[in-house]
Amino acid sequence: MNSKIIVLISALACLVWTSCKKIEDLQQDPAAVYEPAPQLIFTGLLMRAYDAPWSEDQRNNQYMTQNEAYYSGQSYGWTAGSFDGPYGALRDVNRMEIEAQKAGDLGQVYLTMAKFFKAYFYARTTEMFGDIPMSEAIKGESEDNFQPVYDTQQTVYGQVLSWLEEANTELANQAANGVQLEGDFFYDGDLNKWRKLVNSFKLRVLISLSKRADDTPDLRVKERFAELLSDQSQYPLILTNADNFQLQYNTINMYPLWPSDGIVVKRDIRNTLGKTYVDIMRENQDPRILIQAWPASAIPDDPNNSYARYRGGSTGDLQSTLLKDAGDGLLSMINFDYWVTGPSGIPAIQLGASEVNFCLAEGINRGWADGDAAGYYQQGIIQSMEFYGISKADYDDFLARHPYSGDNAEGLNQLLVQKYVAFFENSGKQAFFEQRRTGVPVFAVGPANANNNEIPVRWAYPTTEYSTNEANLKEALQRQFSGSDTQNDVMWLIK
Amino acid sequence: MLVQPRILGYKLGAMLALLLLTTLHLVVHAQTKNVKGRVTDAQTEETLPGVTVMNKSTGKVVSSDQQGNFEIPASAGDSLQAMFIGYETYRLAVGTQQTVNITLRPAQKGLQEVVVTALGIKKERQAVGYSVQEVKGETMVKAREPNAVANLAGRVSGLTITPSTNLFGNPGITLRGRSNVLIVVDGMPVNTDSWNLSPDDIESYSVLKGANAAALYGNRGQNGAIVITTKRAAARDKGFQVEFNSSTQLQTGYNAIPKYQTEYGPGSNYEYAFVDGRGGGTNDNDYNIWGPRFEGQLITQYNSPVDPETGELIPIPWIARGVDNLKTFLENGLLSTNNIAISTKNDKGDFRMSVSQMYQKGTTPNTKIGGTNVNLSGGINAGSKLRFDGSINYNKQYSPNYPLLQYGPQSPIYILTLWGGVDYDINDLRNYWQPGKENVQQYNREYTIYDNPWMTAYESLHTYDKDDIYGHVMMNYKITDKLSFNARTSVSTWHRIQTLKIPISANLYNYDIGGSRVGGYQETYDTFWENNTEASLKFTDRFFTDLGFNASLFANLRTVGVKSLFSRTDRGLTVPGVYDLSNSVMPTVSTNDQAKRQVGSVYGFVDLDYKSMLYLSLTGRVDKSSTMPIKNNTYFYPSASLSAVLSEMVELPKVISMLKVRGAYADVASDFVDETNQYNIYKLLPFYSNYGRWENTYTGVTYTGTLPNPDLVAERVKTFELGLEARFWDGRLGFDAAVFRNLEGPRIIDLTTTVTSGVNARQINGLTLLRKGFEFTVDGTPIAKPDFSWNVAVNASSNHAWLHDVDGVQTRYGNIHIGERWDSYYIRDFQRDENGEIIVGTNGLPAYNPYMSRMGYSDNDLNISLNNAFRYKTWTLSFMIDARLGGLVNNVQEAKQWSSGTAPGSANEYRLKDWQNRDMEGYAGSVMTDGLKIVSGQLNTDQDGNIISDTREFAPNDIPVLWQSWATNYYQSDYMKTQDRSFAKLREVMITYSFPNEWINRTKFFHTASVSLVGRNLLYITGKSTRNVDLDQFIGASTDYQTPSVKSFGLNLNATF
Repeated sequence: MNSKIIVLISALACLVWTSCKKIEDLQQDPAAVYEPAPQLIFTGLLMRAYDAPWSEDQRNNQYMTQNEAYYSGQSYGWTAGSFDGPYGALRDVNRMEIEAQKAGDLGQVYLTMAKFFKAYFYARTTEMFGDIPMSEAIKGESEDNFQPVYDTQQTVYGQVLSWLEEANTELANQAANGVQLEGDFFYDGDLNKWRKLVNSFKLRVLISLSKRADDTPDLRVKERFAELLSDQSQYPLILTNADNFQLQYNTINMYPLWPSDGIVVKRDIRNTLGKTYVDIMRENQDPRILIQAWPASAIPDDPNNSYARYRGGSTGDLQSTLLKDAGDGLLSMINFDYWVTGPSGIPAIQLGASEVNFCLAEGINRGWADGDAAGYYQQGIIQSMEFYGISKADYDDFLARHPYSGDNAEGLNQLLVQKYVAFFENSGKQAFFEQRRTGVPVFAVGPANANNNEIPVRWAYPTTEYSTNEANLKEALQRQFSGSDTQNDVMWLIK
Repeated sequence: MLVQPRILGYKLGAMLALLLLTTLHLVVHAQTKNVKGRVTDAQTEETLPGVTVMNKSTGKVVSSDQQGNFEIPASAGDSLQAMFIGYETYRLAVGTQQTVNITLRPAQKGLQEVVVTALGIKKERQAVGYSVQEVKGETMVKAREPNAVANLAGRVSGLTITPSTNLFGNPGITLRGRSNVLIVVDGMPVNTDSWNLSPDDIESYSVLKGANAAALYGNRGQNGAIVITTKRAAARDKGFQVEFNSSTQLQTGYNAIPKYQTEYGPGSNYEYAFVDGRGGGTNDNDYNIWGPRFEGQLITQYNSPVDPETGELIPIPWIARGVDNLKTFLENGLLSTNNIAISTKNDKGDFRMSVSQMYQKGTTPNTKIGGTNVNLSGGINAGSKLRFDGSINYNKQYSPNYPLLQYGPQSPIYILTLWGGVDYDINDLRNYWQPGKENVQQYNREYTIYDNPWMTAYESLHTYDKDDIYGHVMMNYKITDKLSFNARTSVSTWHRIQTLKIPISANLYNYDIGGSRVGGYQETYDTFWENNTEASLKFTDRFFTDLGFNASLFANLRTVGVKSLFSRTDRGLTVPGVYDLSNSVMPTVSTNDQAKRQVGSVYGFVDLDYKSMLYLSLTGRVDKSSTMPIKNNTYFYPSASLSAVLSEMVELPKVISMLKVRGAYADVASDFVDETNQYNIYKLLPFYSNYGRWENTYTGVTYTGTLPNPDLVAERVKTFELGLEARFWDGRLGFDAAVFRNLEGPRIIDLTTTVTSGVNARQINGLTLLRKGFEFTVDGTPIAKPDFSWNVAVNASSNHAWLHDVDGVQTRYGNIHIGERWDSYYIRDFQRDENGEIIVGTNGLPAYNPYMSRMGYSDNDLNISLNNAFRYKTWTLSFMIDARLGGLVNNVQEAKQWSSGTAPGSANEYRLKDWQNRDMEGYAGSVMTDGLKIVSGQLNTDQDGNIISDTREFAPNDIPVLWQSWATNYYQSDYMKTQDRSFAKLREVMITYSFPNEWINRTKFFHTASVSLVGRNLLYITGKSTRNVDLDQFIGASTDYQTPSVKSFGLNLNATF
């Protein structure tokens, strides 16, 4: 009996011993990526660097209305925004820098890209909120700083402009030396095009600072504008659509409007064109609307005016009114035969040639530098027209009907209206920001407005900041808005 | 007259024995003889192994062997004493006889009643220093729920069971406000979804409420434990015994079913016209139910005839064709369970085999589940010192199709109550394929989102197959009478296959098949494996006759491994109706996962008792977990409990038969594995994960936002509890009261960090909750006559948690500030004037505050249940009522119906007025508050509600609003969603006829036999706003969509022979 027991216990002990694993082996997830090549992070960043068309942003831009209340609308009822998108991206920018440094020379170009993306995401964020953390941001892991201070907008813009200038210089060298950039589904690694984007983005930032151009000598807004305008070998820009920073959808990553079963229903009374936009197009007899949208079916034909049947729904109207009008055929729907002919759809411009030309025209109009504003105004229109495939004859006719009035208020209004037109369903919130800055065009407000008949001018800080970074947040609020934090507080940038 | 002198004599004898022990040891030895004997149960006449037999005169202690035999040195005149838990102590004086047969009588209730405690150790109730409540398995096999755990509802104070109304829905278990309660079967932790526990094989459920008892189970016991003891073989004179139990219940009649209005049909703004159901008509797809009133007017509809000349649809009368669509669609359910068990027992060992079969037909068409359970258990007595035990439980669960009731077109609740509309009769959709388009195109009244529910029921099948095995083998070797060695290994493992078919043309947007309406197929395989291997030494002795000492030391290794594989078709099925991965249009999409971990432990306990009046129990455990940072992966945690039986210490009035106070402290540590998320265990190293692909060419990665922390230490729960137990009138009435205070934390949490730091969340030891609560049970036998008796039991409990600390820096966690109740219920309220009236904005709709405010709390204030059992001769009537009272809940069902337009209250005079004036030029709506409106300006506050500036200018409201706008805004507001969550249920009613003994004896076959009429969930009582939902299922701050809850009626047959 005793020997049986000894055998049993020994057998048991063996079982236990052999089933015991080394603890170190159990602490790594066999499926996780621990050290990626920098281009993988770069590709990930590209995926979060674009704004898709047909979004709520575009309704806030008043290009379209959503007429079914269940799917939200255009009431401007927002309060707080989110930091998750931009700062999540900035975390990856930081990791791209770390992984690129490990890669040595091959990693240099990703360090340059990191500068561009930092500028890109910080600028986008400050434009939404006001002061934001930057100088102490993204230092949680490296320096245990979990409560970064908020930098003033002015500081943020100063840094953004420096990063962009460094990136421009570095890209010039890298392009000359044939450096490889991989993982790039926007420009397929063409560093010259990236360089144009860097400078064009800088131009966008400078123009966004127009209300501050006079009292911020350290930002050198006008001087920098003049450099961009005058030296395009040093500061190449996106001046034609071929260089557009735009997203081309494909059969795998399908266009947002493409139905996955391939059955396109060419009628949609819930999503109709916006009045603010359509009125401009109808008044100007702009041929782009003929491509973009369909005439309202119930409005009688006017043989003398092919634009007469285009009608948009007013953003201020109740959705019940809009839906009824749409159902009654009184509102224009998009031209399904143009936008959704296949899963790839239409490229989604993020920063295009048309915008760049209008920015150059605006700077000149404002007297920041001397130049041919009329020429850039025309190019802005032409690039947009060409994007829609409008023939030269047609856009020449349009240009003839709408000549630039010169570097005066009327001319400024003209080019801002045309810039708004060119932003149709592209470039994210740019049309909204431009309107906020310039008041052009006048945005519709009405009974549907959930912000007491105002268009908001910012996003309140994310609610989580109140519990996670309270002291710094409150200091920034005090400094900017006497402590208030709503969507209606006016930030430094547009004061 | 005889008793008193004998006790006196024992006391003298004990003192004498002490003397003898210390001084006359040798002398005593010289005069001894060996007395042999056998111990049996006075009632069952079974032999009792392990009984402590003590010669009080010499202090010598032995215990009976597997056959109940013992042998002890004794001299004539010595006092022998036999003690066994659960039995009254037996005493006798040794005379001249060589053999003594001892028969032990089971103890009376409450005095020496036995409860099962941690590690399956049985203790007398009075010896237990913490809160434990036991439920006998036999009380729960007659009026059944489909699974064992759901039957525990209302039976244990402090234990909240939230049985799901959904077929195959797992019941939730919360003990003292904490979930993830450990389930232990026969001393070994078991991975359970609650379906692998076979109620017919369960002897008892012992609920260990605090962390105390569970301190021995390691981290998984932190939230308490349900210790299940399975039935063992019982011997009868015929050599074997058969148990038989059969139960059949019809599930019908609704306790809670959503209602909906039947006056208005689909559409928006009273407009609807069908053209193609894809948006080609007027609001004819993805519609609201804010359409035209049913007045028989002519409208084109899905079933309109086609004009042969124009090819256009011919309008037909618009009437409410499907007023009872939901009830028409649903069916009666059926629950049937059958069990047969055979067991035998003799000197050499014992064996029991049991087979159970469960079948349940759901109330949703074409749904059913089955379960088969085979349980084998037995032991071998290999001589007098060695025993082997083993058991294996094989459980198979299978369902050819079971419903998913969460929000989405797969759910009949979604299709028929939220987005239904009663313009169609559901019976007209019964042939769900369009003629000639079988497997390709459904026939329906809408084609982009609201699938034909018959097609979903009969084509979109959701299968489930799980083979679940758990069991153990054990060896116990008695080295000496006082010392024994035990080795045990147990396994809990399962393998599961789930498949899902999505027919072409079905939208079913909850399922990811890489497209809508394109069809698809999914398969998921997963496996679980857990092994616990344990060795232990146990030492039992008594010193100085009054001091009992019991100690054990254990070493355990736990290993857990999980693996899964998921694969689905992408972008559709090539051949319609063929559900196979190879039939995918695009390459299949697959994901897999795996995780492995282990915990090594050494633990033990010491139990001391003094004179059956004072009991001290100490435990300690050291764990080493592979999931913790290496430098802190070994951690110790202790517990202590003390029980003092006052009724043994001081003279109390005779009416008090037992009075005991108890106190316990435990500090239990754990690693940070969530046992319900076995895959998410690799949390120590930062990693990158896939961020998606572009054109299948470019792959992006993203870095984790959670910052790991190499300094993490184990989580802690510290519990302190006090209890008072008393029994009166010879145990006829008793109560047990407990109060506890838990310090839960610091836990290991991912503390939300401002994302501007680059870190969304960082792992820290933080977030401590303070939980306080009480439990109270009363049980009594007000009447105990031979022919009539009445038993009653009440359970009551409550507990709440408060935020105690976050990380030492932050003063709030989300909305909750330190010191505030953790279940605080915050909403975004309306802006209100001084009288609390709603202020509207410039659009006439409610203006909302720019901050959140607390409405109350979501926990129930009191959980209470009442059990009654009346016996008249051989008839028994029992019933149970339980209630959960107080607290707030977000009722999503009603709120969503206000959005869709189906809410019963939405068809009122306002709606009618809007309908009647729909075509009036300039008509703006029927609703206008009589309060203030904002003319201009803003209320500027920070998000804590502090007013920064208030530039609002008010005027009397003069803005009319359409009822649809008002209903979808005001009635969907947080304020209106918030409802009182109190409810009560008549949980169980049972009338049992037990066949009388005379009849039983005459059959010479049966041992016991009974027939019962049973009913479950017969009544559901709640407030007006929560009658559409069975609140029983919900414990959090929100309800969810669910199968309408039904009553059960049935018959049970139970016999042993």
